[in-house]
Amino acid sequence: MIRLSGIGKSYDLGTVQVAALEDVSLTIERGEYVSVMGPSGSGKSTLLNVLGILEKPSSGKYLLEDHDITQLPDKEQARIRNRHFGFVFQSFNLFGELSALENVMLPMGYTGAPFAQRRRRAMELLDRLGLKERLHHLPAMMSGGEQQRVAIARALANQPDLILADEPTGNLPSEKGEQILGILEDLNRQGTTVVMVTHNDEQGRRAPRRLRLIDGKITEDTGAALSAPGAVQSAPGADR
Amino acid sequence: MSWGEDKRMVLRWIAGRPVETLLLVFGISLGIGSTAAGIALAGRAAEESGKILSSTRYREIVVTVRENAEEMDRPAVVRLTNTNVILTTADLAARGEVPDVRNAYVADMTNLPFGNTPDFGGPGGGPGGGPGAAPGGASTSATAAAPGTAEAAAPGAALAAASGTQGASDFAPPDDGGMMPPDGDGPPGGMPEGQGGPDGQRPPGMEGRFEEVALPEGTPTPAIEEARGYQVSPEFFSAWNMAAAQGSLFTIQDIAKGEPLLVLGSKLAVTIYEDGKPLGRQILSRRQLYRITGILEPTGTDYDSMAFVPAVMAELSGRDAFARRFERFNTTLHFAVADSTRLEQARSQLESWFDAKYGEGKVVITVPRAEAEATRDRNGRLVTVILFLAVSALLIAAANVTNILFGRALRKRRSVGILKALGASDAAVFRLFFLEAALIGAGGAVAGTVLSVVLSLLMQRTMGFGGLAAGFLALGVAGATVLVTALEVFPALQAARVPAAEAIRYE
Repeated sequence: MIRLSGIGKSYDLGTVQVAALEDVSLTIERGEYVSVMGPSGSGKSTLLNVLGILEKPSSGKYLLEDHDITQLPDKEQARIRNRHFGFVFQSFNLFGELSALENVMLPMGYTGAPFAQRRRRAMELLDRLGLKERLHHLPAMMSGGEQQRVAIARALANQPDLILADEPTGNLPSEKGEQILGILEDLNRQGTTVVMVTHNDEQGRRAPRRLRLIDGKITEDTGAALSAPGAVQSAPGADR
Repeated sequence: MSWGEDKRMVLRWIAGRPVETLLLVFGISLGIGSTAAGIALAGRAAEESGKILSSTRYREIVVTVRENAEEMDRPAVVRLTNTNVILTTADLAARGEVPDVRNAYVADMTNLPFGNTPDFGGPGGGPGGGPGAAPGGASTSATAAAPGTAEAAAPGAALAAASGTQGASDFAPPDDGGMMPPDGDGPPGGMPEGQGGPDGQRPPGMEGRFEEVALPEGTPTPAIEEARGYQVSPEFFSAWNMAAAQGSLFTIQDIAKGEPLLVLGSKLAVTIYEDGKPLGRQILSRRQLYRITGILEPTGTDYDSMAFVPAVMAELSGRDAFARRFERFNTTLHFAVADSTRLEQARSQLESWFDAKYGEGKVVITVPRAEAEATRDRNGRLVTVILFLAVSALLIAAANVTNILFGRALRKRRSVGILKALGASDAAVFRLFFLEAALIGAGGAVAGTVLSVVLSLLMQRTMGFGGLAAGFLALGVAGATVLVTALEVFPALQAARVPAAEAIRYE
């Protein structure tokens, strides 16, 4: 599904060039569950940004379903993010001015789906994530766990092929984090590819495939051993 | 473009900062309002001065005697004893020496009270009170009254008094009777109205001093009490491009004969009589019977509601001259040139002519155009300053708005990053932020339009250019709105350029 070859990313900090990624080559197949671990500043988030086309790599090639997408115009890249990727962030990143329902409806607006359809789908998703009672609440009125579930519902709005999760449990108490992790594993079991950056070794080790990054280089890759839909064999703590 | 949740979010951004938003709208409205009003003022000023300066008045050179120019400042005794220059129509001959002068004429303001009001009598019996007078009853009483008044001056008063009251009580239709003041309305046809007036107040023995003149039988009373007008010589009409729509204007021969003629402006011609048919009729004013010989074509100026009588200004001398001057009779001559650029030259030629005839500095020669041009230039500078200040207000407002919007865009970097991660393109983000700016701008434009009307009327009244200049205002509002909107593009562009990776950056 995704093929990175020789990806490098460096930031120009005035006089100094800082390399965040160096010669990263990586293949991710459909249905995989990949965790990315590594110390702070190892380039985990940069890798996630590159995977999600939020950032352009400085060098290398990014093939998505065999199409080189780094050279696509902005509009096309936005379309791919909208239709094929779903993002889950550490700090939830919900829009504070919008209700849970509206937050989930928002990405569907860019597909041109009519209001009624957006609304129906958003209600379905929030219901599935146990937020039926929270549809019209603003993020500020919800707990962190609830907010992250809204964010996951939003990431799922356009039925993405790939979920990119950046420390999704980092801002949550462990019990709530466990719940979120369970949801992601559940999604993977239903066929969605998941790439999750995490600090938490225990959570990272639960992933069938584990990447370790140090100083912008992949130092460990357990390989796509179980590359099929439902890569996660058991999901302790998954509540659904 | 669909109305997605992102746009709903923008509306909540605006609503979430009511004070800032209101200040922005207020600032923009001030800028747009003052600029539009300033442009309207400038436009009106240009229109007005163009119109005014093209008037014949500003192709004129006015010659008057020193006393006329200065008499307001002089003690009365000095004026009475000063025996100086008397300008007469003969002096219009000066034009012969000045080829640039196309028309030479006299034109003195006058007032024509209709009816035979004695000068001291006050408004005792205005004939114009007669709107209710019925023609039937009137002519009957006129028949009765006319012979007596026409021939015998002295008994006229008593007779008129009798017939006046009679006319009111006996001949008026019953429904009108109650409305007529008993002493106010002589029969419209015959009565010199002075006698229908306060007869009891007239000093005994004064009657003989007033020559009584009667209108011919059947001539209706004017519907108005008096008209403003000018005593003019014939060239006045050609200088002002006035032509007779009906009848004829008076000639130099008419003036020579001293015949009392009257030419009416187009509006006055309609209003002077109830039936609107003044041509050929005779009318009484200042104890003279004027014949209405002509009606002018409409000019679109005040002249349309004025009356014109021939100027009586023969060579005067001695006691007559003194008497005329005492009455401030006509001592002002007008010379109009065809080409306003030749004014100064014509003026100096006229000056030498008059200096040669009467002595240096005896006459005062003024060129109204110079003053008008000075006024125009002063107005122009004033308008420029106002416009400058107004546009400054606009630029300051626009700069502030842009600045605040830049700030908003900066604060929303993370939101932009998230939007992009969720699938918003640069263009979509631009549209979103521009929508916010445009809504604020539109609010400012609406408030600014209202403000501009108020400001504009205020400014124009102050500067003396009446009337709402809707076209200029619309132009100003549109121009200022375009400017503000154009500046609002930049913060939206900046927001659109925020990288998508901003969503994932840790704080």
